[in-house]
Amino acid sequence: MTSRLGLLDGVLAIVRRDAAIYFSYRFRALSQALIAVFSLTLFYFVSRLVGVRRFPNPEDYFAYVVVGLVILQALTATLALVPNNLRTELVAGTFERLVVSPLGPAAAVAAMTIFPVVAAFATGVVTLLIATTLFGLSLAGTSVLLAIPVAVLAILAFLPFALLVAALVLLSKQAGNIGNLVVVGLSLAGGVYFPPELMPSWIRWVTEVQPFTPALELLRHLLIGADTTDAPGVEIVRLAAFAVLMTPPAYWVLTAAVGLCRRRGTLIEY
Amino acid sequence: MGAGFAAVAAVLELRGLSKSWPGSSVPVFQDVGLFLPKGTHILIEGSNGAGKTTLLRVIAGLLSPDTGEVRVCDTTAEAGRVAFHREIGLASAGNSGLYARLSARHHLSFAARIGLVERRRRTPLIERAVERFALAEFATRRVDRLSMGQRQRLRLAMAFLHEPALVLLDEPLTSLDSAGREILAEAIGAHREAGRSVLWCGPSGEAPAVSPDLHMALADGTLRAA
Repeated sequence: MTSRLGLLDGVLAIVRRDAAIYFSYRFRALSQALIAVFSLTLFYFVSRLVGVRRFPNPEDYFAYVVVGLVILQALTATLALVPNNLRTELVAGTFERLVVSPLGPAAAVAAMTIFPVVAAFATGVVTLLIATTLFGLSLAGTSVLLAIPVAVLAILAFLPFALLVAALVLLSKQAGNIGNLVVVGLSLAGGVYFPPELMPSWIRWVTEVQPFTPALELLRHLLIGADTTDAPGVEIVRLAAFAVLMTPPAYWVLTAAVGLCRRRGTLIEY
Repeated sequence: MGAGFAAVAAVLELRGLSKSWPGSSVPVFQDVGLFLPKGTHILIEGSNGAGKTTLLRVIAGLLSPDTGEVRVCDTTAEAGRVAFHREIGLASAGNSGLYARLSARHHLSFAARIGLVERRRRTPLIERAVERFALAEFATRRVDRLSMGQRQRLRLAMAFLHEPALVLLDEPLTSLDSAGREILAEAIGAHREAGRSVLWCGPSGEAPAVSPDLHMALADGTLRAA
């Protein structure tokens, strides 16, 4: 019998490995902070041009887009970074070790999502700190703390999509681009840079079928006091539903992809 | 190896194993059978492209066979992958499978953890691997700063680390100098003495680091005594 503690150790080994590799590049964290500064600077000056009914003041648009950028980092971590990391493992031959380990490939891929998400969470916090201290972003009061569990819930809601993209990487060996495509598509249609209601009505259904838009709306509500389309409770239920209902089938799809690759002889090909 | 071993405990048992690649009319191997008792070192040799690596990958559970069954310590991967893979250590051919930015010791710790080795056993096993494969001198050094021979010793140490019942070695002499070969021979000897087995695949004509108990050859898709 495999104890849950043993499995947890295996999962933590992957998190520890990813952290060690990340911090072995001395300036990686610093460069990410600089990227955040540059992005904020860009949108700070873009926001100076904005004065519309939805955003009467430049500060309103700046606050709107800052939260969008923070969530976009989490989405990128799950949908783009994890598949790219998996592809790197395949090319480097290190995935083979995970496949023949008792931990197994599917659990290992799921574990590979943890560190990038934690790093994205930390980068998001740093981005918000820089936005408040350097660019005068005004955060809502005590509800800011509630943003932490909601962010965790949002990440759990993104996780099934990461598992599905990882399954595509295993099957096609080049689906890493699909992750990037989804991230860019959702950033356009999901409401990172502008409200989804500005889009033509025929494309607005996109906001209903993914967890990105409710996550954005909830976090904007908690961080900067923005209104939500539906009641916050409904948005939370929507996110929880994505996490609870989609993770088991997504994990099953990943496991099935591993099995199919085993049969086709392509599991460690790249 | 046939029914004469029926009363002896097997570490590895292959029954009717066949594998073909999609689109190819010629099977890589077919109807392969093998019975490997505990404490045995078997050498399977073959020319380049004979299918040794494919056979090893099927045994390790990296590939599924088209037909047949792989039993390791009387269990199959289908019956329980965790139990199956606990009993297997694999050092694949080549020099890949290491993380350039991690130290040798981190690799051993990583292998022990994903191998689901119990916490209390981890440190002693890692220290023994460091000693047995003479890794102490560079244990804290990053892998991309190690020589190819040192990397191979680390890869071998990871295969033996968790004391699996069966260690699979695919052309393990890659980059090893004479001292490295001696280290490997001692590790195989100790593994056998503990009642565990080693399956070594190598190119035809290569002298193994230690004389095998069984010597077989894979040729024309068939495994037979050499």
